[in-house]
Amino acid sequence: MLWPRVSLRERGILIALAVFWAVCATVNPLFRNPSTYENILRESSFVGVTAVGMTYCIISGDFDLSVGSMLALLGIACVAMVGHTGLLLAFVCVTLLGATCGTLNGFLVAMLRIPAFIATLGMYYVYRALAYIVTNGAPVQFQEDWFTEVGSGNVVGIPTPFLFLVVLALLATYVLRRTPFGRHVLAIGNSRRASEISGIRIPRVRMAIFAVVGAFTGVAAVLQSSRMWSANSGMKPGYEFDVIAAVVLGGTSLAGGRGSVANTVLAAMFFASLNTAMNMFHVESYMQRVVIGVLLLFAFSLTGIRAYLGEQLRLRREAREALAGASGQSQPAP
Amino acid sequence: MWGRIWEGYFIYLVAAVTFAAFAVITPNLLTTANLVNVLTNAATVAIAAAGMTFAITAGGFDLSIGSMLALTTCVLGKMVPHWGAWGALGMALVVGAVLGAVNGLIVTKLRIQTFVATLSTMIVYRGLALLYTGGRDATLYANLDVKYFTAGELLGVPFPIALTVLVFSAAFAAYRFTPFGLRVRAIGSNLAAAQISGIPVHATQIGIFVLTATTTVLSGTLLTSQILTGNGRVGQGFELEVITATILGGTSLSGGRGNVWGTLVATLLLTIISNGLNLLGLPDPYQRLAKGLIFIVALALSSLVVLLRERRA
Repeated sequence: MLWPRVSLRERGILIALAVFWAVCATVNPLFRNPSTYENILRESSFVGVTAVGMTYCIISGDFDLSVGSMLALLGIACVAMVGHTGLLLAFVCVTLLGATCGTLNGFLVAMLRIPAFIATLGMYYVYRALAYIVTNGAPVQFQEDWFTEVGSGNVVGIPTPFLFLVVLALLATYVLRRTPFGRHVLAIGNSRRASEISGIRIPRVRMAIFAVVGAFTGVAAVLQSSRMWSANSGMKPGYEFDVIAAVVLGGTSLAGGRGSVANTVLAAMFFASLNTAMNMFHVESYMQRVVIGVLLLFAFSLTGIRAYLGEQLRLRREAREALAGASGQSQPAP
Repeated sequence: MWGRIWEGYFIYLVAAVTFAAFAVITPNLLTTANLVNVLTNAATVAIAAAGMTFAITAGGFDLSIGSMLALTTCVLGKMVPHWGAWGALGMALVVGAVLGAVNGLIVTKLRIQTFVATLSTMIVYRGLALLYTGGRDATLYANLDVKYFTAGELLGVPFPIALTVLVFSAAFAAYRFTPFGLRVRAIGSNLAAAQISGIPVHATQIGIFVLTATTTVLSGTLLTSQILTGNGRVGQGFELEVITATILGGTSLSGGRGNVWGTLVATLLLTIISNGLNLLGLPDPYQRLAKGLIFIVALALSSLVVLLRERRA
């Protein structure tokens, strides 16, 4: 089964999204317009695609902070390439380039054993600086009108980037639930020690996971640069936070071991809806950052609060059982 | 034994060699004016790195200091015209201490890992800084008393240098000789053991975040005095520079072992490198690339040492 456990926890983000849409649609007539939702779906894809890859990474207990800089670098590569090579080849090249960058990150983390967030923080600066150097800080543009269709077009009424997102998310869910690689990702996140003992080659799997994140970032870079008609070295600041936020809000535990690609996609849609709503209600752009930061803190603390409540319940149950056990033992004694 | 000595003094050797190399290839490095310039520039990073040394020794982090640096320049930019340089500094210190305590409370009470917690507050604090100034510059060109923090002298020594020496002496004393320092090291070595042996882990962790925030406010004060502007956008990537310096200085990422003086030397080393690259006329993006690569290589080297030691054992 693709959705093994159907509990409130698993459906939390779906409910949150539905409630949010319902409230917004009640309060603001603009939110009853189908084009608003079309826009939300489109905007959620640029974060969502990378977030699908990042879901693997966080499930396995790692992080990749360099995706924003990678997006800039890969977007620049895509724009520079697409006029000469055509869409398909550019797509393949950028995805492979992304996988290469990801493998490099994975090498630092899995082989040299530098803690993931430190290593990828360093690569964040390296990729941005490279993007700046190759473009000299100037934006690059493409002349081919047909390329804008990838990011801005529709196929049978559905935004093209969202189709990409749905297909990739289905693929990622299948791989995560049904293939050995997916099982290894979950196993590593659950217990490094146990997976090592059971013969999983952890460094190799971790490197592959980072390569997956890089490849997905490559796809996102193609979509994003097509949408923006250009790419530049400073594009999408804070992208990595948006991506990680979507994954965590989607219920993927920071402690690793469990998570759901579908919920990540829903969380990306939730953030896109939130941004749209804040713009519609004229929330100041700096205030938007504060709101998102606080929401992130809330999402991050959910794991801790849940663990705390679970612990309290367990302690209480154990105390009750110990009490029951003690009274049970004392009866047959005389 | 030689390994330990090598590890401890490696950074001093690298610093000496780098300094000598740059002194030979760049003609103006050894002028008094430039050396004072290097030390003044180093002070901004060094002072915050003194606080960060405690955070990393305790096995944590503070990624929000770049945003706190920006917020400090904003508070000073807004407050100096009303309250004077020292009054505004006092306010900035209070603001910093509160934000640090908020970080600490989030980490200890909401049980979020330091990394993600400070990542979130990094966004929030920068948002606050931008909200506070409305995203505009708060200039201090008319309030030159704030210039004292870079151009003034304390006991005949330029103020930033004197402040750095003071902060590091205090940090070293606190690290080595006080119960607080002992608790920080104990938490970093083994959190569970520290908890069991009755160390007030939460209070110490909150204290550490207040400390990183306070040292960052001092750094921010030096910066404001240099640029005479409060701006919510400054200090992006500041946390990386500070963490780089701390780790390069020999403070172990796995916690428990810090090196206060190593942090200072590493900061000087990094400043000399960027000063030397400046004097050689290398453009800014290449400098950023160089810094990122130095960061990665330093980390790779330090983890290789650990890997080799494990293999031998």
